[in-house]
Amino acid sequence: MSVEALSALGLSIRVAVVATLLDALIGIPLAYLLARRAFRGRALVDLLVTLPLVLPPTVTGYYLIILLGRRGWLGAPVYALSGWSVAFTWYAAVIAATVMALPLLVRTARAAIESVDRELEKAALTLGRSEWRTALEVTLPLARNGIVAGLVLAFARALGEFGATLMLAGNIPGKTTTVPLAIYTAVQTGEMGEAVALVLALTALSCVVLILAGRLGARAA
Amino acid sequence: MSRGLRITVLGFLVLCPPAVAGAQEMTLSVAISMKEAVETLGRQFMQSRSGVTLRYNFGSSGELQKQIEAGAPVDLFISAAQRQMDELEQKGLITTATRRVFARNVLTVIKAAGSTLDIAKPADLAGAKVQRIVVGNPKTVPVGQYAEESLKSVGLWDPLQPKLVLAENVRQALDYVARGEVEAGFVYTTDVAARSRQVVEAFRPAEDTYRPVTYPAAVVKASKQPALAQAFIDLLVSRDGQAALSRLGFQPPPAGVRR
Amino acid sequence: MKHRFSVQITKRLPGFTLDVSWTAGDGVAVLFGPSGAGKTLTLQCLAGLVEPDAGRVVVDDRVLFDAEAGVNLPPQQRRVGYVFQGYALFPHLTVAGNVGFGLRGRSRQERERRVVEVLERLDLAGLAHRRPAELSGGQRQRVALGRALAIDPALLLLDEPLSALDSPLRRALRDELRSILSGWGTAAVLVTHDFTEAYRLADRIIVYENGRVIQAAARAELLWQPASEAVARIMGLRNVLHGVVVKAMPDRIQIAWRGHTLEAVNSPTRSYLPPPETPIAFFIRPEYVRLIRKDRSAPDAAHHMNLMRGTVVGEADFGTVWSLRLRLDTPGTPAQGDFDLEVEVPHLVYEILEIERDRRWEFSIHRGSIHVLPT
Repeated sequence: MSVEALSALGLSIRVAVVATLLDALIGIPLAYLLARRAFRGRALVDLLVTLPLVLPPTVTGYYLIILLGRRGWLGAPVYALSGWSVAFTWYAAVIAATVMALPLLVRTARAAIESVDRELEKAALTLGRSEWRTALEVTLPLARNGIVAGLVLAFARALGEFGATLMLAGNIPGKTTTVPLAIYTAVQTGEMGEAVALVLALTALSCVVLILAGRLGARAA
Repeated sequence: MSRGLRITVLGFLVLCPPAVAGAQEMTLSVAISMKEAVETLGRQFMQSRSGVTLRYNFGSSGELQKQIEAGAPVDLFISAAQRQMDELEQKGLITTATRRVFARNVLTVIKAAGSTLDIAKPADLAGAKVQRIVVGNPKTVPVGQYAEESLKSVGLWDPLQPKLVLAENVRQALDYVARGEVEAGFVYTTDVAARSRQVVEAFRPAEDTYRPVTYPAAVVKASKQPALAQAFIDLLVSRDGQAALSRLGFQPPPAGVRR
Repeated sequence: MKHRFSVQITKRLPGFTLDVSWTAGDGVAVLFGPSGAGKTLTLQCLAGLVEPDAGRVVVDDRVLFDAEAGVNLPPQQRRVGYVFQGYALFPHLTVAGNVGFGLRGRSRQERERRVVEVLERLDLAGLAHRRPAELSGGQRQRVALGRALAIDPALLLLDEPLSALDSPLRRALRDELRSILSGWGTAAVLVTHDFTEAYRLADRIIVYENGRVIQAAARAELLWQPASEAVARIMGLRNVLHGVVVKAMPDRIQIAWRGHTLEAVNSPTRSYLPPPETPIAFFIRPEYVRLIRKDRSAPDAAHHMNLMRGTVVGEADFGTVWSLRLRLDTPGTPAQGDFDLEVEVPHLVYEILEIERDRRWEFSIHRGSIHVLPT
């Protein structure tokens, strides 16, 4: 495997791991709120989180450019203040993967949280727990299998992200060229050996993730 | 076959219904820098031939080359560099006798219209204020190959590596500069007109630092409309065709160069 | 130990309004009534899981809720133990983990000591490391009780604690629950729709119907003096009948019914004096109707009051007793469809009297066994 291919593989794993961690940080509390709290704008939040699942990745990528590009709503003030822009950096690949993978985690975790018997939460409240402690000690541990499954799906999605990443992060070898982009370029340039190596590497990695997830699930059950 | 290619080929099959008797249809795979020129001449072509429909497939020359190699049903290929055409010829995928160079272009470096950066010569690209430079991916995008040659000849290709952002075709490079995502980019002089309100030329690299940008056209061997494709090549090199290309900023092919 | 608590709650839900007010003290107060009467909702309001629209809840001088004063303690500050209908044991924790769950904030040593103490008192010591899924129904009930009692609650709430169990186990556990509740001495409120259960477990019974309290009384008082026909029906009392007042006196009352004039004892505590011709409801317990043996001397009015004659028109064997349906000889429409009175006789009596063969009977009802239901 070439240096470029190895770097793409390393980058893909790094991007997917960081994106999954970010998803966990954002997605688990979000899933809890959507499952257990009635708040203003809940339907809107639900819609926004789910959209990347149904929209073509390029549409999500386009929105991300409008938001985070150097002249974007958020990107412009950041660039004006710091002279730095997230587009075409590996952070952009992380953001694209995070947004694209988030709905998979939120939906799976939310369903798992909703299936936890509410009486158990009420019991914890009567036994002196705040809602926050109840979520940590009762709801989330009981929804663990679903949350782990959601994280695995999110990781797999982040690993395979292509469209939105290409739009926001570009295809810069060594910086933003993740494995899916490297495979695309390799095929475009007729480097079939490289493409096959990367295809096999990504397939193997995905299998390892699924097997590990299966083990985790079995231990949790 | 990659997902992208397979979908492209499938797209061709879906979008090109079997030819109806009497109606003629021709697919042109065209280097995207030739977009406006080919569309203009295409309208003229269709007007003078009733029942003829042209379908365009724009992209980087390298991308279009790979599609033809993968068996895309294309009649005519117009490339922005000789290399892609050479490779197809070696593989026997074009009709060698039909190959003609019909235009020439010039490399230029652009910046955003409002940019206050002082970029007047290649060395200015190394300045700290220039954080990112977009070039076409040299592997598939001719404008990237020319930029690479030019920068190598002035010894800047390697030092500029960390700043380089690769575009999938020349119009994407143009778009990155127009959107302000990058400070500078390598495109053709003819491209600037497409986004003349958002980008301006900064400087033109010396023309002796890169091979001449010539556009060859050739009939694809698998074409079902070789005569029609040949007629389009004839139009490109005709007086009318050359006049139209000239109006859009293209130069005539170098003297004595036919293919 | 002297407990005292008062409950006054109004809660409007779509299509249902709970509006109740009652008090209780030491021992077990049972909220009894049909499903959907608002019993569980009351418990949830007491525990702070549901906020009432109006009212006041005071337990041992501690105000848990007061709409006017703007007091509404969250559940975690109420010190109210709650035993849920399905027990709601934490499936991911052991028995010890469940029982110790409410003891956060105490030192580890103290927590462990308390858990051991509770497990021993409830005869669960050997099961400390089991998970709820590995326990029998009775053990689960005890763990749920232990978990709620471990925190020394000021008030213990039990929502249909026996409904998750099969009926033989149910009887055994009903008695076990009774002894645990009296042993721990914690004031408790228990919800049930089963009158036997209510009667066995209660010191005081509060009868709910459709979001309201229709009677609150000590259990013996309720059994013998249901306050109304509605209470009698919810209690499942049989032979609830309608007659007309002939004459009402402080100690007795005469009622015209099915061509007879029945004599009944008037309620000594709530002496009820309706004018003659007033419609009146009353009930006769089936087990208090006396069939008169034919092999003895003729009945004498001093021992046999409210003497009537009838025919057995239906019967059912309930294992230890026979339930007979009697139609009176007097003309007119029978009071309960095709019969007038349900009478219950033990198997032995059924056999001795050869009721299977002999269907015509004379019977009497002591005036103390005819209970007037004020309207």
